[in-house]
Amino acid sequence: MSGSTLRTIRQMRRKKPLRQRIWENRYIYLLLLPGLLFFIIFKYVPIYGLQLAFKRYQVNLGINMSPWNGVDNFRLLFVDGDFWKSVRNTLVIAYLQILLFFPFPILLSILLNEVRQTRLKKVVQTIYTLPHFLSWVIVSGMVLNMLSSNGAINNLLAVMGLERVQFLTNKSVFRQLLVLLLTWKESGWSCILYLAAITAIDPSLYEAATIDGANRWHKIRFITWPGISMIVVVTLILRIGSIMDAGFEQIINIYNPTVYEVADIIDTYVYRITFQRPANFGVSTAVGLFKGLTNCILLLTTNWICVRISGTGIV
Amino acid sequence: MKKVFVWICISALLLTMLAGCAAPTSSPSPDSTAVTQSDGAEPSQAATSGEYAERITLSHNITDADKQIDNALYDYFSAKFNVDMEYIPMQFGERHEKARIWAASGDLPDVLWMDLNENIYSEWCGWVDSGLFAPIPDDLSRWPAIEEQFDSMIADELFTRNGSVYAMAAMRDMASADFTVCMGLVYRADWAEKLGMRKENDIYTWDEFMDLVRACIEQDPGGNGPGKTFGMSAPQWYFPDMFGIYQLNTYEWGFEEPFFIEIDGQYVWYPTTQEYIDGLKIAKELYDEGLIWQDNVVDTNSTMYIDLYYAGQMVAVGAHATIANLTSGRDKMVESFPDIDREDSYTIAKVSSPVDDTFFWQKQSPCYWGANSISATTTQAQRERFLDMWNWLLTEDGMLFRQYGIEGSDYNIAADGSIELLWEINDKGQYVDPYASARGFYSRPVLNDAEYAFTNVSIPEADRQDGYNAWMWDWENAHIGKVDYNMLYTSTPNKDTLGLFVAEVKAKAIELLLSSTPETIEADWRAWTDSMMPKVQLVLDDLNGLDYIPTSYEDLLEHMGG
Repeated sequence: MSGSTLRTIRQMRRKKPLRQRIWENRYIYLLLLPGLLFFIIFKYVPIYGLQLAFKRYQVNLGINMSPWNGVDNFRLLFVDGDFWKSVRNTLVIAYLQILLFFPFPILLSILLNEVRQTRLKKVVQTIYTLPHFLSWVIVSGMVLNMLSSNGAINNLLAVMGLERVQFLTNKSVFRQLLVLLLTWKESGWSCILYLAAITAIDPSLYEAATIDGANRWHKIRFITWPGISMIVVVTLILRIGSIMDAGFEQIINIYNPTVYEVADIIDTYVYRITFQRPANFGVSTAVGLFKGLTNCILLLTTNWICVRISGTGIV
Repeated sequence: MKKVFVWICISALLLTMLAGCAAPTSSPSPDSTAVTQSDGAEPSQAATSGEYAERITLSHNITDADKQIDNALYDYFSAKFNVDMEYIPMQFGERHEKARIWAASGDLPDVLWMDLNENIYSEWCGWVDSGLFAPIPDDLSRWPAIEEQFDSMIADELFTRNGSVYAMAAMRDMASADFTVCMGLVYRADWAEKLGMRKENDIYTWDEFMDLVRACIEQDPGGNGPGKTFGMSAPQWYFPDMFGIYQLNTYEWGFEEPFFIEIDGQYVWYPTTQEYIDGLKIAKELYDEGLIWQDNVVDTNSTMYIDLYYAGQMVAVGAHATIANLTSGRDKMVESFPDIDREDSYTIAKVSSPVDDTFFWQKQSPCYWGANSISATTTQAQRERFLDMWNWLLTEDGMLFRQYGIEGSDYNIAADGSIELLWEINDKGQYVDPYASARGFYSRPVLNDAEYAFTNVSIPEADRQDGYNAWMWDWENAHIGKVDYNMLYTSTPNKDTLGLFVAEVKAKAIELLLSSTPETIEADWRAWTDSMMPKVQLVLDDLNGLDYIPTSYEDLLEHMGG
């Protein structure tokens, strides 16, 4: 199709009013509805409740009628040493995840793409993907059984005449353990996105490269990587944009008081101040707002940096 | 075809999403006088005649909700009171969370059950003051069993706000023994017997018991193999306090813990006392030596510790040794090891204090366990029906119903008044309870007094006797730590806002068991308690009525340096 034909088609499309285009594609647009409703109900409507961060919530008065108390909830929060400890832990764990977990699915997808035997490729991919479907509750049970001082790993170490290791109570290895578990559980699932991006690369590029004498490393470096780099940038920006989410479900199920010092993140802190003490929904909401704003700032900053460096961003 | 497919997809997605947002199935809509008091209400003719013309629905939160409906007990109860119970599922461990969420979102069940202990009491008071609950009528003459229950306990006074009672307590433990609990260690007496170390009546000094635990680990009387027999463990709510801290405390108690104690007329934070620190050091020594199961610190769901006991790998576990717990524990041991000596596999040990061989520790509990509060959105008919049901459950007929089921099909009363149980008997000669886990609602107003618990013929005679003996032994021989109702149920701004620091204390104690050394644990502990004192002092000041009691939330913030 020539360039002029494409331009003509585009112009014809532009001429149609939005309402008409929506009507013509109404069944496609209707498929958007559930997702749209989901975001409206669960993501946008709750924003209204953020006012609680500036109120002293009273159950009989509800969100609207509860009295305003300025920034008192934030002041109460910021004088609490546990809060800052949880911020530090959240950032450290999240950055460890980005450093150690984030590249792994990319690497895995590239390696899987290089496997020539389809059956083997599918088996390997299935093995990597399956753990995603286990809940963290199940995984935590497995971890306790495997890594406790009388668990399978330590029993094996003992049989080999080695010292038992307190994996689950050792502050110096607990964060790494969290990242390792995350990598095991989610790498297979996360690499689907990159595999899809790789599939979209035109096979003729590889054929041409082969004719030109490129080896596998060259193909990965000059075809595969450029083909998925856009997706990598987008996922990196999104991940940094949610950096204050360091994995509540994982940590709440696996940690214990001996490692609170290094593993208590913002979400577990909120859980404790909301459900394990006299509830103060104002302070809990203040934490949520703090977290949301921080994420937003980080997302925009990362996007700005990515645009500057690679010319690619999401905003 | 495409259209149909799209519509089906959209409908399915929408329905799936909306199903998650749906409110519980319909409750009766509140009448126009929903929050009015029912004081002085005239008993309806239907109620007094025992027949109810109007069928009502009552929602109620409960564990094992799925087991409550499809059984003969429910059919009988439902027909008797012309009521449909709508049970809202709840996990035991999330009872506080759920109560807080329901209260905050205005989504309370018609009858809310909650574990109304000191951790949530002040919030409950706030909910009452906010008008979330309906009061229990002042005049209880229509419900004499409830009136009698109120007379025998302090709970109705604790549940009184602005002159009205707002909760129905579920009693626990024995009123006749001043609500002494039987909390302590359950152990493998059969192993002690095998090693020739069992003491008469299972009464041990601290050192004797620790020697026994040590010997069991080393000599492996259960034949588990090297390194597979563990010493002592406890659920998280008793850990690590069960191993030294409880035993050194001679002061008054909180609900489960000694939070703040009164010395010479002044409250002090118990974790700062030498008794607490000495107890912690004892626990540390036991942990380091391996007498306490090493993974107790990571068993945050309190499941593995007891599984190991039932697997025959643990010498002793901390337990609340009620008759019901004795029976279930022993049954599980028999399930794991059919040839085991049932009673000796799960035996209550009486272990002295680590510092005084003649001092035996025990504690009192508050006079109630959970409590039911009636939502203010219920109708007058719902409230009256609930009180009728509750009153009947407290009568002799109600107790027989709760314990045995329905007369004629589950039990008969012989001419001499004894109970002839009609349940099936298994090959071990024990009754098979057809309503296991199905008595959730009916068990709420429990009266665990001798008259009922110790004469329940469905429970093996040995369990009843052992439970009774242990209770009575404690009552006669042990130092009973009394409950300090004043400290627990005083509502002050700081105490209500900051709580009692129970979780923090426990978490730090567990952390230091591992990270500290015997030489530094006292200094580490004191450094931590010092760091906590700015917050703790606010609560102490409230309790002691000293110079600073904030007048408002904002005032509190100022005082905290915000």
